[in-house]
Amino acid sequence: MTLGPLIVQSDQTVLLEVAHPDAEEARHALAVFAELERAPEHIHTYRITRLGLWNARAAGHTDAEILDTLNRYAKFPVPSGVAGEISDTMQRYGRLTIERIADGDRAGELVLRSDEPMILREVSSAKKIAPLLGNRIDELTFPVEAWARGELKQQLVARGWPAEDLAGYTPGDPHEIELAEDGWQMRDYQRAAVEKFHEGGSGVVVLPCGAGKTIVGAGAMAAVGAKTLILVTNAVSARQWRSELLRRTSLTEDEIGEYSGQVKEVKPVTIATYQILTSRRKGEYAHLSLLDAHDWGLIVYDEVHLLPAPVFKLTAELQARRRIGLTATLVREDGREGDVFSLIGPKRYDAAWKDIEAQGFIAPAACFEIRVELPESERLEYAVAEDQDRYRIAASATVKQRVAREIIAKHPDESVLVIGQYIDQLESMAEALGAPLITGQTPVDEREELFEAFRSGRDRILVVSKVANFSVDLPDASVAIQISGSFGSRQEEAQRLGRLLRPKSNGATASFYTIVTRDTVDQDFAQNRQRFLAEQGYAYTITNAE
Amino acid sequence: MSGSLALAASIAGMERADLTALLERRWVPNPAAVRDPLSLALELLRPDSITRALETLDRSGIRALLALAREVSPAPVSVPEREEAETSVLAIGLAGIASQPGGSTRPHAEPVPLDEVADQLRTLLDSPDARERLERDVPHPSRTASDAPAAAAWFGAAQTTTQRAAAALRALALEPVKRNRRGGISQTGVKALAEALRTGQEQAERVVELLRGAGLIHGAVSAAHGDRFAISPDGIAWLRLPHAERWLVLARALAARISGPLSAALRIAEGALGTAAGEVLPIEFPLLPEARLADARVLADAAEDLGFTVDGALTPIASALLDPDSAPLPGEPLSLVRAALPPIAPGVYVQPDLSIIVPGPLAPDDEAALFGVADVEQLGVASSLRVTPPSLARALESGVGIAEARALLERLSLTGIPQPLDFLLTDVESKHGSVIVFAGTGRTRIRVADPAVGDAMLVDRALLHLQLQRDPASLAYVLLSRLRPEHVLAALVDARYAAIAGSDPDAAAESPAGSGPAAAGPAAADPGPADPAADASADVGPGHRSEPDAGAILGAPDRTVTDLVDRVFAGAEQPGSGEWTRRIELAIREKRAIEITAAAGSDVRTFRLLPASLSGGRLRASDQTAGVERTLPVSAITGVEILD
Repeated sequence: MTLGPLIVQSDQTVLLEVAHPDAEEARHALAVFAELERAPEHIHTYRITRLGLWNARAAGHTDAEILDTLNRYAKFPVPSGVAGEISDTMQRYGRLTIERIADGDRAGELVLRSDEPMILREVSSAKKIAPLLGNRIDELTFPVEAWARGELKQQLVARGWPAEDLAGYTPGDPHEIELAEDGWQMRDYQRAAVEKFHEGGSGVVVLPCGAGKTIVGAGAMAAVGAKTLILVTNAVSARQWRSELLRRTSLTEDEIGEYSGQVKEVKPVTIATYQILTSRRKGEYAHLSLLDAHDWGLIVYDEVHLLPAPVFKLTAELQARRRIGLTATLVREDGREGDVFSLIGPKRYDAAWKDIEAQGFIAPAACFEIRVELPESERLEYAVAEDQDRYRIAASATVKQRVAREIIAKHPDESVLVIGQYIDQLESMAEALGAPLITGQTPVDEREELFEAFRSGRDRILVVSKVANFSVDLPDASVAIQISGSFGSRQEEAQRLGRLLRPKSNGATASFYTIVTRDTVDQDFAQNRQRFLAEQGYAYTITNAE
Repeated sequence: MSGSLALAASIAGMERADLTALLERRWVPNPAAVRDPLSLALELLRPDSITRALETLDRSGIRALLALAREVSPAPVSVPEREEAETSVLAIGLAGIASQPGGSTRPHAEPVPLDEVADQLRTLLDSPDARERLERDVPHPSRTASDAPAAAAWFGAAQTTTQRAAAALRALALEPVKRNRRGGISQTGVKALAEALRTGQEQAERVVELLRGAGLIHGAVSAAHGDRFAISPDGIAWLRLPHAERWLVLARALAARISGPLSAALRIAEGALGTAAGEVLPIEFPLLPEARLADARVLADAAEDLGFTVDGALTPIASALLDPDSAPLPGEPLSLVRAALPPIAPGVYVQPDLSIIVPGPLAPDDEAALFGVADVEQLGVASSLRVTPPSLARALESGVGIAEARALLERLSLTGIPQPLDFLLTDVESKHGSVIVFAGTGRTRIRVADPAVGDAMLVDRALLHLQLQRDPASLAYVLLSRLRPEHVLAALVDARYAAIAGSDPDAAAESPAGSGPAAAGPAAADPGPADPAADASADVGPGHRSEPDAGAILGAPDRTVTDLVDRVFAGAEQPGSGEWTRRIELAIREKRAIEITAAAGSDVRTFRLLPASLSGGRLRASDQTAGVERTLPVSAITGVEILD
């Protein structure tokens, strides 16, 4: 027994003792192949997954290196089953390759190859793979039609034989894009992320909220130097991208187009929403032509963990183009991490938020849960209500207005976001606080105006519905008060907290409050959120309202 | 032709030790019918008994039987091999020897086939699977005990499974699980245990088998729980043992189950239990039924779970347990196990997300206390628990106060008590006792400290089925329900009321004489938590059902064997009318001639007869030599020999 900082469990989880002198080294070594599941204060939990191991293999690491890492840092001997599984899993990656024939009669054709006929026999006889392959060329080679490249990779991952895609990319129409590092500079980790992506050709960059993923996207565009299609979650996010690209790159207004519900522009750099891409008319995707509108050299997928299922299908046919996925987490609530791996690409770069926070690039945050009592009249209303109405009643407790005012009073010089789920509750809260309100009904132009007022400090308090959950850049928000949410969604919690993590000019800690009605379903959902935030390593304090 | 006489002759010629060995391996369907060698032979030639013996016969034994029966053996065998195999089939009563006039046996007589055995063997070999297994070669072990990875590699599995076994016992102490009709654990029980252990159902079942094999749980019938698996007194004692001792108890119980064919297969596989169970056993014992093969595979999986094997190969400690005489390690097993397992952990990590990480084994008392206040999330080398409102409520119900829980956590925690946990403890403590559910006279009573909470309960949609009513006779705020206290309590907790089970705090003042749990009607049984020890001891009584005993399948229990041996020997030494009667009946059934010796005073005569009937203590037969019908009293017969 080495008494190192890791305990490797037979279920492939790995516990890291944070206070151990070797913890930092071990954490860096672990990040190569294991996914961080929980990071509360003292013991962090990682999980060794197949995708994590294949990601490591794609990045050039071997099973021997990984076992060496575990053996070096483990407190107790590594279970033999875990060692066997790591070796077996890693050796599966790359034994199949997708290549392009270099010369001869079939030059340029796409093929699936392996040096091991047994593996090819196994996969080619699989029901879902056989239709994706042509007639066997020889014992070691099957032809693959271009359209089948993505789906083949998906199916091979599902079967446990991930193919290394060595077929290369179409360069796309060249388009000069340069970073305009004028008064700002790419951070080291952003630069490293761009380099890793460019070396790999396509893949996913994982950075925490507030760490500047847009800049990594811009860096990737500059590195590729080709016409680019950027896919984002919503129109507000599209505008944010546009404004960032104008600020950070040599691109001009004329070169950037928006393709959304409101505007349909196709320019050398086009920003489209997932929604418009997947909208259907008479059963057909109405805007598919966008994918062929230019010979795109790069496709950027923002918030790749939210990529809707139909976009996977469309992406399967875009395998010849370079792709970069940007996300704060590889974990998808629908479990389709394998599709991200096979269709967007392996993880190319991952930076832990603690590292970035330590460098001062994201703000530290403290989380508070304030418990309130449901007033007697509302308690009776809650008691007689149907199950589906109970959360709304509990979450909308009127006493939350008073508590919100008290919290705001504690932060007199800070900008405060009040975030909620129910429009009635938000309207009365906005009225009580005398603050503007943004909901899904607020026109985009008006939203931008209000955001700008908030950014500039004209409005210190802003009440927002869940529209503010994604990709809204509010640089100066340092306090958020959550008064209701989507039934304890962890993803929503991460996004809402992410709104606070931009570094503050005065280096202050951000404060994230959740007001919870005790002994109701509101408290149950709050427990999920509390657990999530504490697992992310944020300080968490629970108090009763005065 | 019947093999009864040949087998009886073989039995009659056996030494006491040989006969004991035979009876330990053979199933005697009706031990009460055994009086002498012939009656034992008749029992051993019953089809069920033969089938069971053939199923556990190795391939050389089967070949020997085929050769004896002049059937073509699938593969030639050498003379010494054949002789050894013949001796072994003779020893287990699957072959006989030619009987001699007067019933005597020759030493080292040639074995003869038994028709009953040959028929049964033919039937079993009709299965293509069995025939194919007999024709295949025994696989060379791909992995042997000498290939076992570093000795330390077993301890992770050992630690994990010991933790799971302890968690299963704690779960069974709180709530026994139902048994199915076959005496195994019910499907709902498996699910519940898998949930408690945070593992898959197959692994949960294997843990139950380990516990059962070690006698730590037992099937029990009680009024409170019906027919269930509950923790046994040994199980309660086991939970008080340190981890090394706990592991050793489980390992010894598992080692005891590696016997008979599996033990033989393990020798062939050179200590590779996985290979023995999966590859060698079906080939070496071609007639072993699939259920037995599956049991062996499950046992091999359980051995792997327990760290008895690593990658299928016996660890040195396991080898020492299986065969102490040829142990490859010096020292006695307990000190070896103690040396290999990690020491007691210095403490636990209590985290702000209310999780508790236990980075190794704890002292048994600390472990019991900690698991009493937190829910299990993961069991392994390190275990992960979580403190939750329900886990604290459970602790309160079991008599552990919040102050006690706080003191425990403070003492064990390497990192203090984080604020969210402190808040939770304080919150639970402040609410404790605000809603108390207890059995009243014919009704369940709910005493509510805050009338506003009681008013909400009365209209709460989630509690409508409780049909709550205010008790007008009570000075305190008390609600009544017709449902049982445990149902009421569960509904209140589900609806997020801080309810606990308890007793009426005003019982002396309010309850009329004779009321209370004891006088309560059937709808209001005592909701108090069961004391596992009390429950276990109550269960072991006349209602206790005996477990199916693996030993009974292979052979009769020791006492029965000794008794049978005594009777057979007595019968062989002093053959009386019973022995002659059985021989005559056999001859009548098979229409065979007999040679009878009869005495009348000093006149002793011998007759060659074809027996026709035996009734009223008289034999009627035709004398083939004299050509007449004869009637002889059985009491005059002093010898009977069946003629070929």
